Amino acid sequence: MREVSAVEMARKVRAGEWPAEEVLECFLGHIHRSDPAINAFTRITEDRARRQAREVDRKIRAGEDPGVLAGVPFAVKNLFDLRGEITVAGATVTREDPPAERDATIVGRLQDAGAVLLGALNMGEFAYDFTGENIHYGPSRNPHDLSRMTGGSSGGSGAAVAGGLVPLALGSDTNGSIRVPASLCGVFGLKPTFGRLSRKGCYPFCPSLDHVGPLARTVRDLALSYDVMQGHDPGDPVCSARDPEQVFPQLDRGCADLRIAVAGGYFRERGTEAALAAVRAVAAELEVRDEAEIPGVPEARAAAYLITNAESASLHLERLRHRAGEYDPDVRDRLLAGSLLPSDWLFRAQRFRAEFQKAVYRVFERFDVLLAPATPMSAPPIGQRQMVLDGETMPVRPHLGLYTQPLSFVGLPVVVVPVRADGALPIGVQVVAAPWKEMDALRVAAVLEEKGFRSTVPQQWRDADDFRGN
Amino acid sequence: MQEQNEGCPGPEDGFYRQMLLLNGLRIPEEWRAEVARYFCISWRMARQLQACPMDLRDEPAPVFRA
Repeated sequence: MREVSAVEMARKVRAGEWPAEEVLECFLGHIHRSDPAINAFTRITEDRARRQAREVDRKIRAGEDPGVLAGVPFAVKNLFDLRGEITVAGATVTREDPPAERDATIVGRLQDAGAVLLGALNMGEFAYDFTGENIHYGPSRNPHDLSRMTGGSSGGSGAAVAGGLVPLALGSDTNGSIRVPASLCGVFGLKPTFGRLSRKGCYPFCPSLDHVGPLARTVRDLALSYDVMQGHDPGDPVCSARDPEQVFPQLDRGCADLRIAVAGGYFRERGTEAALAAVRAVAAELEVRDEAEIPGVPEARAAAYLITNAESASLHLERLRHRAGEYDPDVRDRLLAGSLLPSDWLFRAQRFRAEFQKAVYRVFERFDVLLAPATPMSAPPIGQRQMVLDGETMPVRPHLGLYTQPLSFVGLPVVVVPVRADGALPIGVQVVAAPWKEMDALRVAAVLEEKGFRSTVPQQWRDADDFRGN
Repeated sequence: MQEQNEGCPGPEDGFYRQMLLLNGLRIPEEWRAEVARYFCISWRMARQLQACPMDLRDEPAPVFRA
């Protein structure tokens, strides 16, 4: 039962072949057996999930439409508001905050489509993290190798999907926090265009760069959930008023009409052989021969780093004055450093955003889609502090997202596609599209999935008694 | 990204102490080295950006809007 896609699961539930309550109990059983090792969940909302599953089954019995995601279990990074729950955002300093009065907008939209919420997922404290480590709740562990990082900050989201705990999870991505765990955990992840999905009800990290999006094991699951979550929300001041563009029905179009290039320059530097080989493998399958270089990528990354550091420090300043000792030291020290930045650094960084945006537009006049590595390496061991790339020693925590950060800086839509060489840990490739062209990135990802770039649950997390075939 | 921090203000500098004071922050001695290390990463990023010519009269535009 857990092996099928969310799309297929919903089809069976809607057809009355699988009761939503039975699907739910199957997943809850797996979570109780496996999550003590994976540590993806920080809260399991069992009672609420059972109520939702019962309601789906009631609608089906009554002949009502239960929604396109009927009975599909999902879970969310614990920075999303869940009505009646405290939004901890990976921290303990938030534990006395009042419970959320309502669900985050996109959580509500998934539930309206029949999806069943199973709980809240582990994350790096306040999302300032690329590792998936958390001093308060313990690290989320990579289902492909429990001694390895999940990547962060949506580490619980990546781990929950990769370990088969849920077919669908939500994460947030400011500089790479969906794409880095998708890469390290070997799942698909979508970071839509800035402003495409509502962030209302999400604990902010750096509002001028924050995005939200789904992680899943198939492209169709990503697309269907994305379609359901689209739509204007006046509760988020940057949420677009554009009409939703339904991608799911378009996924069979292929991508022969799209002009695709490999991102050169910066994106060919610093990566390990595994990262560069993954891009080569994807490019070869798509028969891509062109290379495109976006000018100013190192500066874009620098600007994104500064904006993140300054905005997040400002957000936390009041708490840091009185309760700094309750923060994860790795996060606290970065926030304290951010409180020292001169204003010129921040304004220059915001101005460079406009410059870089123009440069990106020029590249997308020539190409529709770019391919780039998602992370410079596959999952490092939990606890690793330093890494060496191209002979340079650098700290892991701020630099694991060096390929993702410049792209979210100007809000480009990106799908991460998992690549796995024989016997190696998974690593992702970013499929990058022009602004508002999520459909192009998802169509390319669908072609790649068809060609064998798939996300699979490691054997140790598949239970024989869960299988009912599909 | 190599640790080349010559010229970067450290915890012993007046700038550091004044910014902390203005922000109402106290940093215990044992935190200072790590805070300084992260500050130096930002300092290097800022130097990289300052070396890049740009028209500062331009609007600092938001990202893609509908």
